[in-house]
Amino acid sequence: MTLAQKLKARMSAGSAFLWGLLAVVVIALIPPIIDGGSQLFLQRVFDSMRNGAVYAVTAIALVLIFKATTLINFAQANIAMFGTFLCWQFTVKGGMPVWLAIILAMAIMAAAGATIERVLVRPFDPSDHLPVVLITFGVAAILEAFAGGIWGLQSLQFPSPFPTKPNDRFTIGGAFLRYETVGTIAVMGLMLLVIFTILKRTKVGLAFRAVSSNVESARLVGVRTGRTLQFGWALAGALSVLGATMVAHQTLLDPAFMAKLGIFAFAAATLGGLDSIGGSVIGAFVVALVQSMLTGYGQQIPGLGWLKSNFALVIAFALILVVLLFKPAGLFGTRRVERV
Amino acid sequence: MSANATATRPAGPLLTFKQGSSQHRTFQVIGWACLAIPLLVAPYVLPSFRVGQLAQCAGWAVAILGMNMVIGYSGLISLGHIAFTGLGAYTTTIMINESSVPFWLTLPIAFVVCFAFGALVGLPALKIRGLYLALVTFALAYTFPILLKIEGGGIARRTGGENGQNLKHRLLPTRLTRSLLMLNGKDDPSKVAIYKYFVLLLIAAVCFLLMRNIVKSRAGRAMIAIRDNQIGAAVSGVPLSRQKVLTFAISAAFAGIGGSMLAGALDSVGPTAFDANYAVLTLMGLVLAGAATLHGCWIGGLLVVFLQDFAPRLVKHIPFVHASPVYARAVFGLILVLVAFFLPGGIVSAARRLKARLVRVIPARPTASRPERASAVVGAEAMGTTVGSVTSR
Repeated sequence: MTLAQKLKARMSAGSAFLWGLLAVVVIALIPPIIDGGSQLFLQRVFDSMRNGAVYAVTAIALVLIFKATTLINFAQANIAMFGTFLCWQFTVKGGMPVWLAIILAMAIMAAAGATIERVLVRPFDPSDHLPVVLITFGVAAILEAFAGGIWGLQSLQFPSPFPTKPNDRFTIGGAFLRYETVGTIAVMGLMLLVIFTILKRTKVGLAFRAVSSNVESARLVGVRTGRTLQFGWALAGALSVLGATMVAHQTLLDPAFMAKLGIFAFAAATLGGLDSIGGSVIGAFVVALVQSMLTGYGQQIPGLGWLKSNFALVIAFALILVVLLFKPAGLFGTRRVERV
Repeated sequence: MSANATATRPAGPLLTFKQGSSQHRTFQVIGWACLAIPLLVAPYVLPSFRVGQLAQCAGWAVAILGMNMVIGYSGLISLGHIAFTGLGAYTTTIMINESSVPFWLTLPIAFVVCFAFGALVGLPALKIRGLYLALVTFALAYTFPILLKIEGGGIARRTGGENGQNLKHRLLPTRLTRSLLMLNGKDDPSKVAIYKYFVLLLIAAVCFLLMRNIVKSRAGRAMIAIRDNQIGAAVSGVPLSRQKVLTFAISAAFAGIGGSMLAGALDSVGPTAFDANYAVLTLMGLVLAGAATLHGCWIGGLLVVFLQDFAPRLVKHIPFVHASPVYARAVFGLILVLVAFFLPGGIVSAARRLKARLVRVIPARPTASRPERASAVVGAEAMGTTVGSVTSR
């Protein structure tokens, strides 16, 4: 098969439209990028990579739950937020080393995720969506209230797990690549490796893949589905905390700091395909890149002058809407056969 | 009333009526009077700020009426109706401020604007199933307050951006209504509050009747059929796509009217009045009052306004803890979780069960002239009492 044939076989009308739209955005961006010079461009790419890594980790957490249960956990962002506050408590108040505190917070929120699954989610039929929406929203509100009540509503300084002195950076082509960015991406890569190892090489991973593929069949061959799903929720809780702690130094820490990031993670997961881990990682970097480019160069594109960084959420929303309209399965997700 | 006809027979009801007998009618009249008299008397005995809050309740009730059409009756989970409520509120404000359109006239305009935007956002509802739709609409709820602040196209100038906008022409009683509502001799704030209360209550009542007729119409039954069994509905000749977009658009229009009423009640609009927090709050009001019940909207409106008011004080008075008002959100969250577990039909269905326990109505024989109509109405009511559960995949 030639490359063209291969492409044609893979591409549906929906994804062709999506790629076309992406191409339009890229073409619109070319003049201002050339205008701005390579150094500025490189800088914006580097800046986006860090966001991309954080979106990726949070998106994977969403995908893990969606893949196995076709449920979307609306409390994910706040689970991450609460874990980050715990981490802040351990390191700033308790004097623990940052990495130890992160691991401890991850463990606690993994336990919390497993508990939420067992106590609040498992009693309901997963095909009935309203109760799960109510419960995850309820949990999100409770976590936010408690974070606000315990640690206050003002922004807190969060210590970075990486060196953050002004000179801690590589210089490539005149643009600065901060150690923090490299570190975040490295942690994300490591995390991906761990997840893939768990899913492909361990028994619990095999059970998880069986459950995601077909719950009924998995149950029939003796997989303990409830416990496997619980494992997915625990993993998702730990992961999202890790992502949040990577970014909290930059965004500062308050009870609402993950909500906006959560929407970007949703956008990333939707773009990549809500049931594809690799897809959502690629989606995350694309979303971050588009966000960085459009908010950075938007002012020079006619009609997009209003697009400053505080309107970045509009991009995420538009992206979610467009993807779900034209290719609901995302770029790399599994297409499900719909009968009606 | 006919809902009781389908209720299971309880062990020992306090009262037993034959449907349509004079005792039954007297009981109904007394029951409705018990509900109506407080509504009429309350504004004259309560302090004016409470009356103002009640006027807001009417606005939220209509907004919840709209949400209920989508969440309760169609089983599509939309968390973004707060954006349509906001759109309605801003439409009214901008019309009043820039074109001096009277408040009454802004309502149909808000209806049309929100209908159009609802259809636009509802188009994905064709393709997007279940939680995907919740995801899009959730993102919409988050994005709406930000969209208001966009400086291009004069949007921020018209909406007032971060600060919001005050209404230039407030709702004020005319001389006729002053004497009609016996307002002369009251102080100014109560005059305005009582007038607003009755105006908004009237609008809410009209919206309620409209919605009741929609739900009981062919379109309404098609909607419920789609919720209960999509494939079955399609086989029975319900045009799925058109019906879903129509449902979404109508519900958005109702949510928008609710927003217009809120703008009238508050005399101002702002981005924080229609943000994601309110999306959660209205969802809570809806499900606690009772999804897929028409009368739930009134309770929902009261819950949205007064829980916000009382929850901070409630958590402060928990013995030994005396939590800070920040924990009020935890109360809302807890309510959402508890409703999902213990009260899936909300307060209204609990009240219905209680009533069925106390009062028994022996159904009358269907009249010979229009038998099929009578049984169809009973069926629709019975369906209305269950919370939406989408059984098809």
